[in-house]
Amino acid sequence: MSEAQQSSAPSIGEIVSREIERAIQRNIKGLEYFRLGDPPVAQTPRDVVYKRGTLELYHYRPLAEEIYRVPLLLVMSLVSKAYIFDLGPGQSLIEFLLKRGYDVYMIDWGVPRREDSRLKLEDYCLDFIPDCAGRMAEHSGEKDFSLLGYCMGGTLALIYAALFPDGPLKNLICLTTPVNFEGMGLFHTWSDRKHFDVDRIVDTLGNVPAEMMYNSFQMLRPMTRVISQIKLWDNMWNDEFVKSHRLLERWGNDQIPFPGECFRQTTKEFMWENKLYKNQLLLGGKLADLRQIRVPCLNIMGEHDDIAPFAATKEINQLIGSTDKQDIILKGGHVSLLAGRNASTRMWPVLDRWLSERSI
Amino acid sequence: MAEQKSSTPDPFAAWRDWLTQFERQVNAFFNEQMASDGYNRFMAQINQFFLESQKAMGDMVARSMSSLNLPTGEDWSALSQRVATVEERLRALEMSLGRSDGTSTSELAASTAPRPPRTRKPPSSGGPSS
Repeated sequence: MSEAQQSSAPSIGEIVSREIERAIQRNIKGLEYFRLGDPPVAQTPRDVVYKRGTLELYHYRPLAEEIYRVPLLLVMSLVSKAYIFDLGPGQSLIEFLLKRGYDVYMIDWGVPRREDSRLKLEDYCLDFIPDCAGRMAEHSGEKDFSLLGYCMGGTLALIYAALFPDGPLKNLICLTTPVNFEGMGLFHTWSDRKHFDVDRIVDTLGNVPAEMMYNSFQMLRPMTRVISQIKLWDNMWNDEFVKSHRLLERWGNDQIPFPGECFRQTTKEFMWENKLYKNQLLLGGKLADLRQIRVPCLNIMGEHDDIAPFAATKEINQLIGSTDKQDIILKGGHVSLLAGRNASTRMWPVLDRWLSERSI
Repeated sequence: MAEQKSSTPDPFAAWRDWLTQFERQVNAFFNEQMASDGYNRFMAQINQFFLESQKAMGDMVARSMSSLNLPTGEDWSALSQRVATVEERLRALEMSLGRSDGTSTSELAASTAPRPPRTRKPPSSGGPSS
């Protein structure tokens, strides 16, 4: 350690003084924390371009004076709410993309109703996504588009790209997207056909309840909930930390049911048979052959992702037929990669650099 | 917050590091247990019990509703399905009408603000850097 560093290092007195100051702040701000309700989310101005059942296609109002020609369509997973893309000012990927000059659309699947339990992968990949792509083309006046899918939304985007290799897709971005379901860790173990009676669950419950989905995510890291509360208390003096924590906690607790038939299908076709990975997935009589994907593809993975682990996400670019493809592994977990406090300095600029070159 | 490296041991920083390590170790321990065959068999039994209770409860509620001549969840679901079908047909009709008179098929009002030009170039080609 240099002399300059040693002289700037805090002494024990300074450390104690800092901690006392933080303790006072904790007590003051801790009271405030319990007084406040849920933080507002999805604040970026937007218009509903299209609505169909619970599905809504949003167009976000541009924030730049000049935008890229190619619009970007975001596709969310079926298991969580879409506002993770737009958590709050300063913690919103959508706000960032708008400021960087992208024309952003998003498919929000909404909260599945009882009758939506009949929805299958065919509905999402052969009907809803192409339908929204058509609406977006009409609204934007541009025929081609970039598609970004997050988590299972990325899997839907991959299937769509494989089923429609002749366009109009121009660029594909897979964000923490599982493709090899044998690499899904505990989810793969828990859904083993020896014990897991998916037919009974779907036949009895229709949609898989939000609580069941929430508990299965929590069980991946059973200690984290307790420790995160301790860390929240420890950082109560830090407004930025508390704001980010509250937004992420709100989203994490705001789970939605999983459409029953789609759950049955993902369990059997993905978890048991791994058909997408093996290029054997048949939807509506069409084969979702990943080798047919020839558009530029960016695959972004989280180093500490325990929901879509590296083993499940790493092979996307090896499976597709594109020549322009890139893998990016970043520090972060499944959610923090997209919307954590460090996402704005880690993942977002990487995405912008890659996509800007391909959006003209 | 990034802490500067110090020659003075910081007990608070050490406690925070320990907490993170503890979380990882406990999670890893439980993950190992939850990957076992015994745990999965146990969870399957819990699930089976839960599903049987759900089914019994659902059947009982449906019977009670029927006897009171009130719609059951199934009835609501069927009704909702029919409304969805009507919505779908209406959408198809609006689409065909929109196409025949040349207007947009976008059903819902979008912002009327003028749209910026689609002429932006990436920073590497001389476009704005942010």
